Amino acid sequence: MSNYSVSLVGPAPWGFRLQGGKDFNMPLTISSLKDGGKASQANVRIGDVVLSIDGISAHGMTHLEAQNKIKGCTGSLNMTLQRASATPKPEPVAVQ
Amino acid sequence: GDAEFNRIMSVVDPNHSGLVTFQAFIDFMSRETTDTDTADQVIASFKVLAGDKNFITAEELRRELPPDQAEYCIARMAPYQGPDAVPGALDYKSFSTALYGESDL
Repeated sequence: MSNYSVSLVGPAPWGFRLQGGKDFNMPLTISSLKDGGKASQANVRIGDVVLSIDGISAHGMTHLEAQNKIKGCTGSLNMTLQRASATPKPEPVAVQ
Repeated sequence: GDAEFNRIMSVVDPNHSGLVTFQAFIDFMSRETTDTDTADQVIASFKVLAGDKNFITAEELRRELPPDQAEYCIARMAPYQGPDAVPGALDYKSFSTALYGESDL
């Protein structure tokens, strides 16, 4: 589990597409990034899960709630995210 | 010109009642536009209702939509905060993208 925080300097647009929410039974994830946009420059990656917005846990937020929360951040946008990790390769097993 | 107009009218107003319902309008726009993004289709439809503005007002929603749909939209649309905003302006774009669970931020 690799969590990280970003603090994007405003104003919007932040350069990412947010997908999911409680009403879609999907975690809030970054579904796309604008090349050279603020999120992309901060090393946010596609598939990363948004854990908190402006210090408030994103768990259980509907899409509209998360969208409004992000839109409410004008000066800067602070988020913690969970890196979408690739599944680790299994250790090679020696054949006896 | 005329043939195209008659074709469209027969699709959106099959009963020749002279009225086009919002649902018929949405269905028509979904079929006719080349946009593959359905949120964009809803945004385009609201833009027509809003008279081409970037925001819509509660008054316009109540005038153009059935009462329960209008109240649903009014309750959920965030205030529009663009440079051309007026008091009571509502952000139909964010509302539309939220319907499909995908918002560009």
